[in-house]
Amino acid sequence: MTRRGSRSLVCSLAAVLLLVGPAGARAQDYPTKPIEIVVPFVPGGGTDLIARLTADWIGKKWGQPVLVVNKPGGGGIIGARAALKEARPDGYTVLMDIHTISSMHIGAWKTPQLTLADRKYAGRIVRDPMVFAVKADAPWKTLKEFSEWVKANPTELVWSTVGPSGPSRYTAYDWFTQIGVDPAKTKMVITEGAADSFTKLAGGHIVLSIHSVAEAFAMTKAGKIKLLAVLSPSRVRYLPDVPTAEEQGVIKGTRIQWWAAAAFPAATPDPIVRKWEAALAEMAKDPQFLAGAERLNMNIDYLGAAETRAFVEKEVEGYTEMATKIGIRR
Amino acid sequence: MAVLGSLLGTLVGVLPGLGPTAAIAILFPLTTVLQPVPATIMLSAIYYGAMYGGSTTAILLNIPGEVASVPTCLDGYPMAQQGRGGVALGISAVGSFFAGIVGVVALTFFAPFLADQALRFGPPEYFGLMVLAFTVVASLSGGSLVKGLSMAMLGYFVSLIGLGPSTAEPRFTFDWAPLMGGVDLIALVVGLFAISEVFLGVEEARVAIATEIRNVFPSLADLRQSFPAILRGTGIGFFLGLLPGCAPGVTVFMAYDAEKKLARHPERFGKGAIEGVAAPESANNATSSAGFIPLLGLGIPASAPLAVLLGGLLVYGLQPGPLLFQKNPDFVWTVIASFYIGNVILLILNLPLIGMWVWLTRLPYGILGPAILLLSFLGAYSVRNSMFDVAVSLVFGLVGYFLRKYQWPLAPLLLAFILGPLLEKYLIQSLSMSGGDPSIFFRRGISLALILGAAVLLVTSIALVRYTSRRVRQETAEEMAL
Repeated sequence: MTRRGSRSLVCSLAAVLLLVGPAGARAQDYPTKPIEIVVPFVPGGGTDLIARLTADWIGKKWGQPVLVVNKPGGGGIIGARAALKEARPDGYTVLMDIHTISSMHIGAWKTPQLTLADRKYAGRIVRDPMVFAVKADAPWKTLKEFSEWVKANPTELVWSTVGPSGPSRYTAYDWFTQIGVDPAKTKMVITEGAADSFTKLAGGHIVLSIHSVAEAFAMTKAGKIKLLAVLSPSRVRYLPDVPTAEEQGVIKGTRIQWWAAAAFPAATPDPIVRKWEAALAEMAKDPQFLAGAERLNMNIDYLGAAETRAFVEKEVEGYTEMATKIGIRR
Repeated sequence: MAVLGSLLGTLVGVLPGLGPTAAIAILFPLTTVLQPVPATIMLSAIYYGAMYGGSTTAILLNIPGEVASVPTCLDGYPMAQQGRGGVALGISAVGSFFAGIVGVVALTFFAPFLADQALRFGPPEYFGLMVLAFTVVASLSGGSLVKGLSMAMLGYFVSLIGLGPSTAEPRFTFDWAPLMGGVDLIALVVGLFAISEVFLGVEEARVAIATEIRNVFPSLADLRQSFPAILRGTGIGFFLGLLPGCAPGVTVFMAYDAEKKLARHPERFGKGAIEGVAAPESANNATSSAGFIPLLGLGIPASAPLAVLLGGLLVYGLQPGPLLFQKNPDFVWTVIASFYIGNVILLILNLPLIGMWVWLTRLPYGILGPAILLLSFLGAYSVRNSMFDVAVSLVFGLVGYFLRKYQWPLAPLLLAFILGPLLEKYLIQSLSMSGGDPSIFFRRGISLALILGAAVLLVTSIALVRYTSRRVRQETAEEMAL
């Protein structure tokens, strides 16, 4: 490379670094500059949408731009690490934390990449139960009927999960254990996400998909798939006709659900986290925000900082136990 | 909105390294101030514009802005070197316009129906499609099949880095966190094609890349020669584009390959054959338009930029899916109408603007080189907001520089990088479905037909490569640049 070439290289790198921007501010007059919400997934998914909705509301409230930054890869761990470990703990970097990169990850690994000690929660924003979905013209009407069929024909059951330690697998194994089916006899297909699963389900390539309510909503309303049960203590507002699994006497207790919470690096000053907690509490009651969430079929379910932590801790216990039982804890 | 979007999209698309994904991602915040309908129109126009803009740098500078522009380089750049850059751009605009309009007409009439047909493609069918796509490697190898296959192996190896698509098991990461996310496609493309180009330029001490533009408007003879290619490119791009997950990056290669196989003188390809520009450019736009059918009809984004677009729609409170046509007919039809307008605008905008893009390339290399480098780094950075990707693009810039210097073809590397993980994913999914029984690929009609088609194509490709390389050796010792 010539000297001119290397100099221009340095200039270009410097310009990129400038764009990344410096950080640093005090807690009392927070926020004084734009805040970044890190979404550790590609744009368009549930975590991304709730982050954008939150960013919009918080940005308007504090009169500072709140930007959503997508850092996908490594099943969410890359972005989570960037937000919790590599970012400055000054309150200007927030992680939109969800079950797969926190409680499930910690439950599945003996030495997880990130632990609860790396986070400070400001509050849980949304919670969404899982549903059992089959093709719209499938012969079963209830989860009870379906479970009977699976008991009789376990090798016929082709079901999807997003990853080997994803929520679908935990839910399916919970169900298999409770109805007495050997999971090894069934056929598990790993898909790229809920949209991918439901396409394969609607096309008749797989028999069962287990995903969250919001993810299943569009295909259900379009009449491409039907929901046999919702895994929730009570029925869901958006799907009043879908009975819960417990109601049908099939699966006891609800241990797996989708949720998203705002998390900060562990060293973030408490006053900043408390300011966020208060703002999120206010947001969760705001009719305009709720209307936005309704459009996305998101079940807003706010929990304060301490409650969120207790909730996640309890999930970690549950997932650790389940992962050990399934034999995927390593 | 459509005018503004097309213009902005083209501008960002023209900038090397910034493809449609980056263009939509960068300009997305701009649209949030608008109402849902104008915002969606603008986002779609940015997408179309960026898709089109990529061809400008491919032709004039030999730098593909995104994967879909790679085949355009193969013949577009030689055309530019022969002083026919304007014609290449012109035919690309005409082909894109034609394909865009065909795509939108199909979208208007068949979207709900076609969206349903796509569902018949399950993992075994996609596996067959990927096998078919892999046969393209043979004909992208330039003179040497050995070099081509080696590069494909290298591309596949690079794609293995990161978490496996099915098991999420780390591979070749050496327990180093940044490698867990794998090598980003954009960083790879920018490095291999844009940064290496700057290095080559610096080495050759280029003054400017200036190419003479004699004619902007293609002659009647050019049009007559390209028309069948435009038709075929549109057909291939459109029908494959209907399949969710089939991005322009795949269909353009297939369209280019088809032209090369059908041509009476395949040795012309890679040296400035106008069909070699017309076919992939048409396929590119046809795939982009066709991608809207699974997107609006089923809510399934076929490619990364469409995924960003889907996110945009959802934020505006519009849930794509078959219901969208019943629930928000005004929205759907307004957006579709805007696609027609957008395509016309692109044609009107781009034919006269070609002169301006050409002027851009006349800038002294001392300014253009660093500018390309800066934009390349920005492009690599902006996809995942990661400095690691900038470093990756730099590494691949060096790799690409040496490979090009010693005439190792880059296109097979890229193709294998894209298709390798998909092939693996569909293989594992298919075998999971059948409980490990490989006969699943032969028991299903569509997948069987695709695999048989691949076998036939492979034999033809190898024969063609042999034939071409013999001709190449006879006539000149020079090999294809890509």
